[in-house]
Amino acid sequence: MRLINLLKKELVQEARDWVKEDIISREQANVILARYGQSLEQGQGKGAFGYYVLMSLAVFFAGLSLLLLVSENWNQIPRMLRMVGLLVLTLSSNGMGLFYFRRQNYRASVLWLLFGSISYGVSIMLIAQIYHLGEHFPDGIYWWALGVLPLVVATQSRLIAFLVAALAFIWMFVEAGLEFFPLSFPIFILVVGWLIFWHKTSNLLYLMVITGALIWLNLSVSWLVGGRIEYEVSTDMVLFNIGLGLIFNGFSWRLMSSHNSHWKSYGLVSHLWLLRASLITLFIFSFDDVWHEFQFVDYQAFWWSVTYLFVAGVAGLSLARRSGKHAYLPMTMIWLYFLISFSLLSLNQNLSFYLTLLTNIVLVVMGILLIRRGIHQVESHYFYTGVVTLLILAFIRYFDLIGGYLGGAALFLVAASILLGAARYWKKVQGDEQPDDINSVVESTQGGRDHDSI
Amino acid sequence: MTQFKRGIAVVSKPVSKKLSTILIALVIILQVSILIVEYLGSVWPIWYGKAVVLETQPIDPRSLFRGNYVRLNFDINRLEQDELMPDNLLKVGSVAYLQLKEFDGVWRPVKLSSQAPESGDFIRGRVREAYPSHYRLDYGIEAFFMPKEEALTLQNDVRSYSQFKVYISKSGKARVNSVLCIDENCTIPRN
Repeated sequence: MRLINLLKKELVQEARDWVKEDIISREQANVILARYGQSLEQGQGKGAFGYYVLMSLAVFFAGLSLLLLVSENWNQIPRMLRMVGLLVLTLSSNGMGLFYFRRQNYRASVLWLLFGSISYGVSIMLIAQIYHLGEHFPDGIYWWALGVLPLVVATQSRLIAFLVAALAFIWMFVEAGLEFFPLSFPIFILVVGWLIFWHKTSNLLYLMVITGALIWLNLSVSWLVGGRIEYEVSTDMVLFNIGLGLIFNGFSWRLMSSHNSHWKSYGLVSHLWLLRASLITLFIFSFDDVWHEFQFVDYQAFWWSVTYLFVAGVAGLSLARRSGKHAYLPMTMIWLYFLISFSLLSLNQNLSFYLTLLTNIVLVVMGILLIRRGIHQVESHYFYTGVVTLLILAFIRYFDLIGGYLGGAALFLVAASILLGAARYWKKVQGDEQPDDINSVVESTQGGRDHDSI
Repeated sequence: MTQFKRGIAVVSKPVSKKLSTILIALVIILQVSILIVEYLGSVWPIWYGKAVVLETQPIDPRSLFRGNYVRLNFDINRLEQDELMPDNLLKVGSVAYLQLKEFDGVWRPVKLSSQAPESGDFIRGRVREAYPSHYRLDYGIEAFFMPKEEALTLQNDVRSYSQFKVYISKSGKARVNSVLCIDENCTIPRN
């Protein structure tokens, strides 16, 4: 799965230029674009789309204005008048939405329904304000989100789905902040997920769904550990999240190997974020103090967590198995590294030095694998991520020595040996193809630089 | 469902127009119903409940969605005396009923229990903290919304204690209604 899938709209524009300059025919352009789920005809109504985006923002700002207007607390105006005013506004906005929907003017319909939905939420808050409702205030946000949720199904609008997802997130956070468990959060995630997987495309909503699911799963575990009375953060949750990362990475590879171009994009987006997250995690574990702390801290269910990590790795790898070695090689390495490292912690001996050393070697190998992938797939993003990983590692280790000056020197020597060995092996395997590949990567980035300088 | 043509995803047809129209109409009914239920739940204790007076300490914060309010920390929010304690230990999150009795125009706690008392005045609350020495309960009357200036005036005027009129329905559900001035120099708005 190539990064160009995240630049599909730019590709359509490029293809239009190629057709205009008679480099390729219109049919050829459409055949090329079809590989990415696009066509020359897509995005023709850019003017209308721009108008729609600006109108959506205007509605959003008008809604915020309404919310603040109500917050001013107009005691001078009778309660009933204030309430009826907002109720009429909610009904008329939604009524206009329904009217335009019946006339098949969907964009106008969505904008009216969006304003109606905000007005509905403001009405909930106004009643709470007028009658001094001091009850659990996240309930107001919950009923707001729940009252708008069916509109996602009816209109299949990303705008309304975004409002629902944002409200669901706010509700989840305030609910958890008050030591309550947001049990029904998955309902919102499932409906938004249904929209973006089977009806519309939105990388932003996809990230919200994935992030929401991860946060909710963490809250669930923390809530269970706390005896369903309070949240309790346990050390085992680190293993839980590493396992989740492996499963989600496998899921991302599965999406990237699907025939659906939208799903491919989703897979690529989550894969890139997981790659960054895994590198940050490895950098955190590359410090001696971190492993020292993990060695002596209490665990709730240590072996259950290690077993779960084993199962999560198997699940992630089985999901990613048909995507080739770029998928399963780094995954297997990270899986085995965490599995072995955490298993060794049970020996009750101070192994933090060796585990830190192992983490640094894993980071070196990760850097090499990324550089290799970047060259092999002619993708500068992976190439430079690998290079930056190795440079950051060298920078950190130069200041934060492992085992004093001699230990640090030995580590750099080991890293240099691995890099040399990898380079020689590469030369042997790649033969004459390697220089061309490297040139392509360098040229692709050089071109970008030239373009920037212009 | 999503269909595939030569490896290209064809986004499925939207839900039928007739079904969507019905759904949107149902959503409008749902939203109005939620607002009516919220309204009736708010006014019910005021229409049919009994007025009692409770003592409180006000603090002035701001709600993200509802504007400025005075947070009310009633005497009955924290129950420490042994004789008030229920027979069984109440769990956090469970519903509890506090019996109240009038002493010199102010209603004070008598007994906490997990069951609604058969007679007398009582208020329904939820246990937020449970310790062997004390309980902390919320009754849904801990916020009093006011314009910013009035909220600040109330906070400044009443440094120590003030009294609030609260309506309690037969089920124990309470709704705070107004602030009472007990000092001659009081400038607190009385609505």
